[in-house]
Amino acid sequence: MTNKMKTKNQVHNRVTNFSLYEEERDPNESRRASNKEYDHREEDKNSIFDNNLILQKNIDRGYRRYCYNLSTRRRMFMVIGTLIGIIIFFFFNLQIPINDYIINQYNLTNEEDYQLHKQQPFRIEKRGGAFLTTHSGCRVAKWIYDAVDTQTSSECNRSDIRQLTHKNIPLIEDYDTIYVPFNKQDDFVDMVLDYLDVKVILISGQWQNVQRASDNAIQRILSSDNVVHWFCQNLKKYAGDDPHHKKISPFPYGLKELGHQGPEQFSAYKRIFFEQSLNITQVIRTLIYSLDTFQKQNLVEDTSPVGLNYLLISSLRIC
Amino acid sequence: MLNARYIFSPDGDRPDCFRHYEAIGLGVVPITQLDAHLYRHLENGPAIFNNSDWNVDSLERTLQSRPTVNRNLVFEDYWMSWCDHIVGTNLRWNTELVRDTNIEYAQDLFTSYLIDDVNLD
Repeated sequence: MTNKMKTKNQVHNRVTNFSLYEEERDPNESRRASNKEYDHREEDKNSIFDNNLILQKNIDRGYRRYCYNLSTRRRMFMVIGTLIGIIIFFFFNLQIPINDYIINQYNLTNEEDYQLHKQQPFRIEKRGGAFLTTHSGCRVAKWIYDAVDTQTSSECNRSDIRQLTHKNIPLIEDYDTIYVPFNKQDDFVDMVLDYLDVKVILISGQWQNVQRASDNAIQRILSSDNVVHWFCQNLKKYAGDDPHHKKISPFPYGLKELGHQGPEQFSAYKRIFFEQSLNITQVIRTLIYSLDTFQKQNLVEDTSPVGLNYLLISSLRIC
Repeated sequence: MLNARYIFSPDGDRPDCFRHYEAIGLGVVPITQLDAHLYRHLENGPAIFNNSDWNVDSLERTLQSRPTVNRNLVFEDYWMSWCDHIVGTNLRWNTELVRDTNIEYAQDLFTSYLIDDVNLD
């Protein structure tokens, strides 16, 4: 036999031996092997099971995290939505009065102009004001000019930080309101007016019957570019020779709060005023009126007091 | 005064006086001698201007039997807003004012009465 033949036979024998080996193999051994395989499979299964568990746990965690994220997102959306709602609410609440205030400035040159101007509605803005009294001018104005210690200054609370002196003129801003009592107008013109470089609004009044300012002082006030408008009590007496000047408007005198029997009169007035205001008949009438208005108007856009809030307030007041 | 609808309120030492405001605050229309333009701030009250007829019978025939009175005229808030309206911009007022809930409630009450008269649209 050649070498080639030998190698072929050897290979063949090996193959046959292998097959024989397979055939003659101990069945127990194969069972053991299968058991091993089974064990391996079980291990694999266990491992897979463990892996599944881990995976499941991870999924659970992920799901929880997802849910958490989702809830966080929802919360975020809710918070953002609420914020947007609040912004819109305030925007509309503020926008309506702002729109009302965007009014073309009228030059009140004559009575016809005023008749046109007064027809424009305006909304009452709540700023914490009290009853209108003879001292309301100095109460509501941003600055008070009263350099000398007088009766008026003590009534206006002279220790107030709003006391305007020559030193704090630089603190005055555009459209600040300045209260100047009638008997201080000459001083004001000399000490403050010439040093102003901003536009201001003057309010003049005094509960006592005093002399009016000099014609020169009134003319300088009216001719000053820094005085946008002058509100003055009792124009007929205190506004000089030209009370119809376009810069001048009347300012109310108000209720009597001080002076002879003033406090007693004022407290009596307030008592009667509130007793009448809180009269049950009037409140019920107002409620009926409000309900009627509630039905007529679209109160979603209505920010006037005649709304649900007002109904609630009225109901609470009755209770 | 509470039982009246109008009250005679002639000039005193000065034309504008606290009696006008007491009347308006209590829902009564003052009949005055005031000049309609120089005291135009009371027009929304309302007030009767330039009156020279003090005869009750003739006034009863000419005046409205049930006038609507804007009682907000007795509040400072009304006048601050009125001044803003006249000048045409928001003015700078004292920011230290303390709010009074009773007064705010009364303001709401009076505004509700006048909602038909004051068209805010």
